[in-house]
Amino acid sequence: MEPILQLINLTKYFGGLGAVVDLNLEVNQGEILGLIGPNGAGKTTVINMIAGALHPSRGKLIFKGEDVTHLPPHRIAEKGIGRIFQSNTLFQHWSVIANVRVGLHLHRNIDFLSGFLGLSYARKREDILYEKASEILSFVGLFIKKDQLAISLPHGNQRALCLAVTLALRPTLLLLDEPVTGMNAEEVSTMLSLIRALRDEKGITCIMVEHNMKAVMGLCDRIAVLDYGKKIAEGSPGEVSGNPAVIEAYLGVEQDAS
Amino acid sequence: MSSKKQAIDRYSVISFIICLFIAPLFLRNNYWLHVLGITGINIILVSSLHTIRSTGEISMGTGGFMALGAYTSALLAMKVGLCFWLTMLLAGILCAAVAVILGYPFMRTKGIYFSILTLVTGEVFRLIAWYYRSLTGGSVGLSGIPGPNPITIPGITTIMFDTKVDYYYLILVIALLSLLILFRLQTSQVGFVWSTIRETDHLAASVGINVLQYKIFAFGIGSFFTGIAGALFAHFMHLLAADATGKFGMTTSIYILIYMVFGGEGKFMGPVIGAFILTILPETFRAMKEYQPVIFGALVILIVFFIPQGIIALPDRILLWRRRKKTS
Amino acid sequence: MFEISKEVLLQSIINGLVLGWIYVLMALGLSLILSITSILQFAHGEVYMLGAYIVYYLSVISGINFFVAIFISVALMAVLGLLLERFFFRPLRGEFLPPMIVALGLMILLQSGVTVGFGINPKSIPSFAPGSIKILGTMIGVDRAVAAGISIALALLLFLFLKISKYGLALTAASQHREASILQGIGPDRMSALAMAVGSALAATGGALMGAILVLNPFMGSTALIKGLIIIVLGGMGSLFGGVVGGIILGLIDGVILVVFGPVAASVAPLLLVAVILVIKPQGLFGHEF
Repeated sequence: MEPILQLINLTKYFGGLGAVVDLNLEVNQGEILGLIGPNGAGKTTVINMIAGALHPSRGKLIFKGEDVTHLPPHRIAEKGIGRIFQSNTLFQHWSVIANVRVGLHLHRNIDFLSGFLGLSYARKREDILYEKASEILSFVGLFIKKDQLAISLPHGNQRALCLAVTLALRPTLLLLDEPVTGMNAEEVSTMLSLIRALRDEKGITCIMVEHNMKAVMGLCDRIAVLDYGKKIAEGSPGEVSGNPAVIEAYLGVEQDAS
Repeated sequence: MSSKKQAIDRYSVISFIICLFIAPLFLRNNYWLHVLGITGINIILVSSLHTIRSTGEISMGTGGFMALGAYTSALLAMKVGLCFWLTMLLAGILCAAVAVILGYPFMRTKGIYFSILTLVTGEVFRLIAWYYRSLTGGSVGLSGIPGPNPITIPGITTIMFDTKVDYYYLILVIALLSLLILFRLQTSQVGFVWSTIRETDHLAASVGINVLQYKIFAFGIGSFFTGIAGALFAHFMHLLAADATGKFGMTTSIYILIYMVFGGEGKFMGPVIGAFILTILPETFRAMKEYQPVIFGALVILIVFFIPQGIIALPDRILLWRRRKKTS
Repeated sequence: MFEISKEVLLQSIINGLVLGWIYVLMALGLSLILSITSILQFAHGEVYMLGAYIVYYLSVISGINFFVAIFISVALMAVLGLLLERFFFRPLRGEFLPPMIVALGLMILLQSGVTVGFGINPKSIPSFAPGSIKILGTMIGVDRAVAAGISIALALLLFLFLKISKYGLALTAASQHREASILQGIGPDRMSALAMAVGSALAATGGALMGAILVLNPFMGSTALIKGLIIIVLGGMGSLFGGVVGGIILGLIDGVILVVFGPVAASVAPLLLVAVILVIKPQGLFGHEF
């Protein structure tokens, strides 16, 4: 079966610096792929290029057989690729449920005129949308807090909210940039089972960038390792953790002990 | 927002509007009617700026687009002979079109550079008005710009536009209509998306919102109403003359921006109140005309430091201060 | 198409470029302040204007030597820059709009203050270098040539400063990333203060030179501000080298298009050019990728 996402010679230069150089990678439908490497290896740059936030200097991105290399972020979202950002990027001063409501933008089905005139059709659609948002919040376990302000949530909940927002998109591929960074053991465990459930129950493919080695090794089906913008290893968790090149890349780098 | 607060807001707005409608009965003074007319035009200008601001952008080209609208409407009326309603509409449409065309290259840049670009654009329009003498009359300008033609409602009455009172009501009605449209936009789906762009635009983009398109739309709509206000101005004053020192250029753009910040960006009526107070207040101190800008400049600086959220936020702040005093 | 003699055209180009260099000083200062503090310093034009008026007051009314007067004026305006940064901009740091509004308030205050104090009638400073010399086959006032020379020298000095000195390198780093100067051991507050001082000094020099070549009036700051902003958007936003290029382009537009096609075309040309550039390259000619 054809891979859902193909990175072909993907390259990004910042000035003279090669942040990502000739990356070739395939992501299979329904798998959880881990993307790891020391700081500055180019992992987030890869995510940004797939998400359309950065233009590749060279190379191609093929999603479900379609060339999506130079599409802007909102078109990438339309194709069904969702992402969460490294820091807790949310609408901090809005309620939890309002945040998820934004994620439903592409599925709102309210035409401009009805909305502008305030017709009852528009209001009914809004109610339906809020119901859908509630469902998503239940899935991630935040329904009880739906009317709280995003900024008042603890870190772990905010991360879950980020996930909920992008789930509203109904993505087929999810880009997770450090989903469990900064979380305590309990929060990590909750998030990981959520991600697993996404794959098992909804068939969503995930690419996960993470520093938390236990999480990566425990959850991912396959792992790709980057160092200085180049792929140095790829394979199952067992293969990668035993790879001498990988171990050397991490030597001297303080690992995230959580 | 609590329903009690909503009710208070609604009643205050309605009573305010009623006062505006009956004002000419008490104000026989042509001078003050003129001032109120200008105030109405400023209210349209400030609300259009506020609309553009909904996406987080600040346009400093208000004066220039106003000039574009004013001259377009005046020239169409005088040289082509179209009626006021049509020229006003076309002026608005032209301004919107220009904004949309410029919006594509301008709005992909960082916020503050958009402000610089619109400032430069506004100045260019002013310079065109100043230099293009064969078209605009330059510093001499266009005079004798006609007002609207009489409207005949068969069987009831004919509305003539001769006196200051007639023009006052004309501006009042157009201003209210404009505000209604802009308010509905803000509170509808479109306004919601605009606020997502203003808050966290990259998150909005990642869920499928075409940020550039929505920003250009806001800029276009805002400029449409800026053009309408400019057209109103031309037919209200019956005279348009380009100015060397910046009326219709940077000066106007700056003043409208200050009206908006003074009034408060938080609520829709904030900028309206700001424009109202700051247009009328200087007229009560006409004697000190020379010192006005000095005082104004100082006032602006004080506002930013002491009432940064604007006048409209004062009632809430006073309540908050009172609540704190009670608990301490 | 009009018949323009080669001499007139050349004269116009040289003139445009000479005046353009003074506006480049404005643009460089403004761009520096913008990159470091992220504030659009609207009162920058008034610093330029005050620089001119101080020189007028010192040299014409008090009889001090012109060049000494410039030094005093520049020093005073650098101090003004520091004061503005410390008391008006620093407390408001973090947000986009409030510092801009304060700058606007300052602009209105200073401009109207000078109008009330000195009147709106133009003043002039007697030429510091009378006569004309021949450059590239055309006659140009010595004072204009000297002014251009001083401006070019200052621009070069600025670039050297940014590339070589410790504070200069910190400024360069800070313009890319706010906290980057901490790596050099210098806090962002000091960077903002330095940017304001240097920027204001450049503006004051420009104003003094322009006042000496042409005339002074309370509105000259606004004109210079607009020219400075046009240069910034022409040359690329966030790039100082782009500022120089933008200044040259503007000088050429004012020299060539103004004479051949008239003032309307010369006013519209920069804007159209910018729009076209931005369609092709959203960061501007030399701007950074956002």
